[in-house]
Amino acid sequence: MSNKNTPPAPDPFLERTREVLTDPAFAGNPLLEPYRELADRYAHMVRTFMKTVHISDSYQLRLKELNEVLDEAMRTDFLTGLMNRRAFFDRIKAELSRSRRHKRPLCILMGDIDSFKAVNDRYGHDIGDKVLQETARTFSSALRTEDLKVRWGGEEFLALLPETDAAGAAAAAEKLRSIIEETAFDVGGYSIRVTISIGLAEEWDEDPEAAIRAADQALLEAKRKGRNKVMVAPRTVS
Amino acid sequence: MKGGPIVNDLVIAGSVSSPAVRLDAKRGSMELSGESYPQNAFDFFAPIMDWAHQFLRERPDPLLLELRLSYLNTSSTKCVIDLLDLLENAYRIGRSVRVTWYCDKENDRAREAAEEFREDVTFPFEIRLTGHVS
Repeated sequence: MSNKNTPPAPDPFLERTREVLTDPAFAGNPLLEPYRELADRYAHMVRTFMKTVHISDSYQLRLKELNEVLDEAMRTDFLTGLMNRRAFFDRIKAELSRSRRHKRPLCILMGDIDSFKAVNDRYGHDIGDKVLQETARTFSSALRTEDLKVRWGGEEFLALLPETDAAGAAAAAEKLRSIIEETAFDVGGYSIRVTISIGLAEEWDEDPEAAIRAADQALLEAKRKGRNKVMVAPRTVS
Repeated sequence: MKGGPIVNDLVIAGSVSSPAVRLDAKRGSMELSGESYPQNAFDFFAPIMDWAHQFLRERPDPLLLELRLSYLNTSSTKCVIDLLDLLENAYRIGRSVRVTWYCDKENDRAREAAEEFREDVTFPFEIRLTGHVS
């Protein structure tokens, strides 16, 4: 979108002025000299103005583009490319009020890689990071496009499943759990298997934090029961 | 005074919002580098314009303007156009002037802007794509 060699905009007033100034009838009239000068300066100023505006637009466009990049970076987890917590909290209210308005169920699913510290201890953090990336990829592809997938923290992942009741979410969580259990990640020359524990909670009142806490409790329960399990939080809507 | 440069060197340290300026009378060079969005660009550029005027008035030597400006606000843009106008007028009466405009090869918008600055200019004006500018 370059403005290369932008032709000057037609300016009938300036054209008319120039016509008068070059009319042979007035040739040699010394009074016209300052008007010629004025017409030239006017044309030059208009040109400078347009040029300044166009150049300024280029810089503004650049700032706009950089803003978009920053905005995207601010909402994305750098390691896994999933949504980060900040982006999730920006979305959750809208998702919540939509499910309320349409009286549709909504579930939250919280997953945590089992004994992840052992992976880091054994293979080092670089490999550990790659395992996180692979897990995030699996997490992402096992769920639906419309589900929000978030890297919650270290080895913790959260998903928000719209239009899904506890039974549907439990099925999705079980599918995710078994895919991860059955997949060997090829990273850094190693074939690494991990398992994931998942807690889920269905629908809640105005407080999204309550559902996250409930899912978290269910996750702890799954860990207590020996890991590599899906647990559903008891329904606690008041 | 005779023989020595009357027009003095002018150096202004750069800040977050204003470019570093190095105007070298002996070399006949003006260098501006950084981002330019000072509180009052017209005030900021006034001594630079004055220096260029004085140099062209007092010295017969060629003048080179080297710009490494990654961002200019609207009034700085106007000031740079004015500076280029000044050089253009000097060139048209036979002075040797040229501009080298460095821009980040990753930044298409900066290159577009540089091309627009070059419009209407008849003296040598080179746009050099480099790595990160300033």
